[in-house]
Amino acid sequence: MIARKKIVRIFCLIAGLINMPAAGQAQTLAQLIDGAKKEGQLVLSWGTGTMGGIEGAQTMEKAFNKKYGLNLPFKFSPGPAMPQFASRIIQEEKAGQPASSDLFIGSENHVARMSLKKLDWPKIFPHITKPMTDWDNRVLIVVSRTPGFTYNTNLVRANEVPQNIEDTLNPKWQGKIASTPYAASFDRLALAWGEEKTTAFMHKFTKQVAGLIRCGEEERVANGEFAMLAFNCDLADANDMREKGAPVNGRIFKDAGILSYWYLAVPSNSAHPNGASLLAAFLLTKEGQDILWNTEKTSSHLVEGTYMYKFVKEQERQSVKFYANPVSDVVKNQENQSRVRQKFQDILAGK
Amino acid sequence: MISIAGVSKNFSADDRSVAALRSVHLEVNRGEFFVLLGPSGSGKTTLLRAVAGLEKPDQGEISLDGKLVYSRSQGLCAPPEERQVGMVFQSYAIWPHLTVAENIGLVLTHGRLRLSKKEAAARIHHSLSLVQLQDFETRPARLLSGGQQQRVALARALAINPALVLMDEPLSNLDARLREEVRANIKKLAVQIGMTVLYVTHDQIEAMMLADQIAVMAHGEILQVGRPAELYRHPASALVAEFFGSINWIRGMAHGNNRVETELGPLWVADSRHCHGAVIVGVRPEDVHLQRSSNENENRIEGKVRNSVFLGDQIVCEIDVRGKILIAKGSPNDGEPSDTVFVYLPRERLVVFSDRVPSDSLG
Amino acid sequence: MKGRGLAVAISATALLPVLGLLLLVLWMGFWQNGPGEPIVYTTSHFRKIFTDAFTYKTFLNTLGFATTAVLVALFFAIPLAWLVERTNLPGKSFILAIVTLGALLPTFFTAMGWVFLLHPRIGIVNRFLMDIFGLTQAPLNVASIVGMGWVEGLGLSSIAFVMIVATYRSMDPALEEAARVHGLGIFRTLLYVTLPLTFPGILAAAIYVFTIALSAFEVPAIIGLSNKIFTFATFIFYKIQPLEELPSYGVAGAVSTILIILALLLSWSYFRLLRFSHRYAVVTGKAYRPQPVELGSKGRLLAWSFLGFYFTVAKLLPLLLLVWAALLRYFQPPSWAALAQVSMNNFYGLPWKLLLHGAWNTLILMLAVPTLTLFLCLAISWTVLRSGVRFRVLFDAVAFLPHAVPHLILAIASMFAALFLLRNVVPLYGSLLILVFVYTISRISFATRIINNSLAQIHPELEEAAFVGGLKLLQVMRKILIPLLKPALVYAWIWMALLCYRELTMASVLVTSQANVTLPMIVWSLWLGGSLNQAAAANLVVLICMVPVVLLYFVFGRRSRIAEGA
Repeated sequence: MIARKKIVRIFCLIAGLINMPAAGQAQTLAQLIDGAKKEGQLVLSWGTGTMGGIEGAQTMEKAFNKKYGLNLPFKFSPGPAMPQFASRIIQEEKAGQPASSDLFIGSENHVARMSLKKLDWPKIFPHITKPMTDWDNRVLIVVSRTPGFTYNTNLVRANEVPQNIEDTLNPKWQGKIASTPYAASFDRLALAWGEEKTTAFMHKFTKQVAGLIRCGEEERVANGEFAMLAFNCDLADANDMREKGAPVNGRIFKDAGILSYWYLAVPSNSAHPNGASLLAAFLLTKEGQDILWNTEKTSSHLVEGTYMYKFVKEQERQSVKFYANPVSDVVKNQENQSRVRQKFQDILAGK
Repeated sequence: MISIAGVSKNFSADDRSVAALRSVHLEVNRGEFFVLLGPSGSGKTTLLRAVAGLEKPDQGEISLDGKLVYSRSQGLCAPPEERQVGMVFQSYAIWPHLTVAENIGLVLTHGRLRLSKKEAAARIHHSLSLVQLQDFETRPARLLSGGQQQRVALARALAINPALVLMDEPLSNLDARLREEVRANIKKLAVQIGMTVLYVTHDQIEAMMLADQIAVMAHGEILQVGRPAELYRHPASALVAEFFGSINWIRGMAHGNNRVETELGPLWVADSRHCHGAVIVGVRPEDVHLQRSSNENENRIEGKVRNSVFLGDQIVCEIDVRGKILIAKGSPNDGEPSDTVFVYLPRERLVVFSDRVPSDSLG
Repeated sequence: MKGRGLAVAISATALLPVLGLLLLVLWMGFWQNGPGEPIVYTTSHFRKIFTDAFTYKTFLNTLGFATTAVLVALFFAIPLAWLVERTNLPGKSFILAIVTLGALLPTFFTAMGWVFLLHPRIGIVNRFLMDIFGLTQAPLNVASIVGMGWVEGLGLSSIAFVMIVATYRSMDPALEEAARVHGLGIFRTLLYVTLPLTFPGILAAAIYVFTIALSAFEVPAIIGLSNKIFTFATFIFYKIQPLEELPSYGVAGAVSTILIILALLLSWSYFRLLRFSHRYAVVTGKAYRPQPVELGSKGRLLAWSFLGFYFTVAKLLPLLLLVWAALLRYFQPPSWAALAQVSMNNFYGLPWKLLLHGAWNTLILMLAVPTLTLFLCLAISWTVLRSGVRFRVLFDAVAFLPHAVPHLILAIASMFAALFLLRNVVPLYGSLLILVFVYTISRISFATRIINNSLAQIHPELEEAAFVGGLKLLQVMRKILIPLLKPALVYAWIWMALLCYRELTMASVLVTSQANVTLPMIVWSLWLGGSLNQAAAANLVVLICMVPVVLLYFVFGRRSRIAEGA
């Protein structure tokens, strides 16, 4: 056992030594571009429902290389869901293997557990502002999401659409509401409401819930199997479905404004960290955001002119107050947050 | 009992059609022990399975006990369960998941008879006692030896009191000593119960010991039907003659009378009027008599003894007659043959066919 | 027998990883932290599981679901196998082709389809029945344990069919004929002779289906969760794939341990039964092909109605839904309004380059895995049936294990092995090789069952004659056994290739890069990513590509009688 651990440590050390100089020295844009050129390619992987999946990666490849005058081929393969992927990269890092993806995208709960590279983003890239970064420059906010509910416009008439979250307790919806098996967004609700109030609400809410579906299965609301999905993970899926002609719509609860982010991060075992850093920065430009919008209907509310920028501004004008869960907080309160999440999941599962 | 008329059956394998039965006609009388004898591939098993209803012929008619069970022209083919026969399979087909008693009980309680458990028990006991297995009722069938399985198969076939029992080489998987014992038992039972048996074998000794009537088959055809002695003495063809033990063949020319000019000189035969041209004359080794001297001329030829083997109950000699080797079997009581002998071939023992010497293909 | 040692050694080499992986899973259940971290042992996972009432509820759900699936699969597979193997029903090649092709339909479409048919609110059949009989409540509910079992069982009936056909073929037909001749009739013969005699084979198929159902994810996730019914598979899945947490493999390991114990109990009872039935193998003295049972006009009608019903619910319906989904922008129940939206858009948007890459990898797997598996399983079967070495039954038992252990667990264990135990020995992780390795291990039991069946049919004297003639074992294998076993080997090969093609459970854990991405994995991630319709389109494309391959096999197969070879 001891010998193995030692080998792991030595291995990590060697891997670190190889990677350190490049990352350490790259403090200017020119150095990053130079480093990326030497790296020769980018190995990328995330779920197909994230950042436009395969199509998004292809579009990024062209625009990114043009922007920085590079010719890096993107080796993209669709990856598993974010948590599994985070866990995989963590294990790869522990095993001394290069990460399956040079750039990771995930929520605050995923990145908070990973070993990540730091970079003085605002200094190197003028378009990156301080609020876009978190956890001492380890992560960048690339997508802002506003969880709310998805509803079937045939089953829920315009005057019945819930405004506040308590409206979901209307007996009319009993047995017609779906929620998610992982109790999405309720943990974030607890940040605004406090654990006690949220728990009390959930005990009432779970009686309304007929079944559990994943985010991304919104068509089961569209085809009438459920009248509503609450919380969903974001409104983007609902909007996307509506544009395809499905009878669904997505709204946020006026009393439960939640902002949840997807972060970009360069794992410490990234095989091509320079290219990855450049790509991360690129995705925070308006051009990069446009790609995300065109392929996946997602954007960051921190980049001026994006859909989310306008959406959040508009909601705030209607005096919706948004809560977020910064990565630095997650790092501190990890265990408590896990416990709360597990509790909410158990309540929804009917334990 | 069994009446088979014009039954044909073709099998197709690998895009080729093989005739297993060619327009077979056969009559089996009630109470007869009828043996189908032939080499493998002669169609005898196919014929048996057609009688059982396990094989559907392409042509002809079969009736059992006066009742039509298969008729091509009437589009009739009674399923096996309606034919009321007993059958012993070559592999015995003893159901390994049942006990000895259950093997027999199943056909009694769930077969045509639908006996109650109680009635069945008595029958089981009776049929097992017929084969001396009454103490094995509760034994799992898979734990029986080959000979015991064979007896269970027999008991099962007899239990339903069938008018007809079909047996498909039932002795071929037994060792020689056991075979004799079971063979005797089968014959005894057949006589005792008075049942009709259709029995398939490739062993002519078995056939001759068991049969009232034998039908010799080859290439899907019945060559000859008759009592064992009749077939032995008066085979209808060289093929049949060959099949019943060894025989010496002598080439010759016939002219439509009783005299045949052969490679050994002229031979008188009982009847060769129907033969013209090239013939073969057959004589069994035990009918080749050896004499020290000869006073008469008819069918007596001088020869030299090349080799003789003493077998205890008989002496087998190879005799060179004008360059042709004849095999002779004699009694040891006749004494050692001298070097030069006269071979006597009795005319009533000679068979003549306008045929060439059959090949050894008849096994 | 020269070369005996080699065969035994190959068998042992093939079977050791099986044991190794299982031990790894058991070990994992006691880890406090994730793999790679310093190992701290704990029994807390087990304590948590056993003290939680939810576990027992889930356990009962899982048992009910898997049992229903087995019953449904057998309900269709047994008569189907009997009709194909023992009757004069025409069009057997057609039936075989449909069953084989049907195995390529992904389960999650079937699951969604049955929601459309039998959902209490939106189910078409339910609405129809309610209209006719004036019911106020839906009579059928797919979102129940029985409903889930029905859908899963339909999907698994193909594989059950294949295994049962093999059993029928290895039985001495004289055993059935003896019953027919002595007056039992078709039905009674089936009931009292055929079924009891094929029981070991049916049981093996049942256990196989049962364990697949134990770890089946799609149906419980899509149908079960819509009514908050959890099974172990969904339970483990959300432990391994939570939304916000990192996967807790310790809990997964602990739950897996329960499943393994369950599976071992099953295997143990199977082997007890087999010990009693080993002597069932009555070798026939004759090489005749049994006369097929004549179906009368009534029987034929019944048979075709049965087949028609089966093909409609198990194959045609999912296929139609697949086409339907592929042509729509979002999945909705069939209606005139929906028909107006039909387009080919989903096909234009497919990631063709990646699909091509996945197809290449899948092709390699479909060629390599069956070949390697057959090679190993020949050695194992020979060791078990012919070598006469002591403990050969042990070989058989271990070869049966992958049959009984959920594939999800095998995959997780081998991922750990590749990442933490073997990383300095063989760079397996993220390579196609690890898929070859794990797929092969998982199919060992399937192939040994089929080869064992066939090898038992071949009289040992055929080989002994060759040994006496001075041939070595390898030559005997090549010159005598393989040619004689060829029909069975080809059949097993084709089926393993098909199973490889549709394998998703293991791929979802082990596919980590473009280097080893497979077709079903691409389809699956399209679905997970929220585009069910693109997934349908991708699947349809792949299915259409497979049609000529399967047809070719049957055209070629008819000539060389491969289709009859199981």
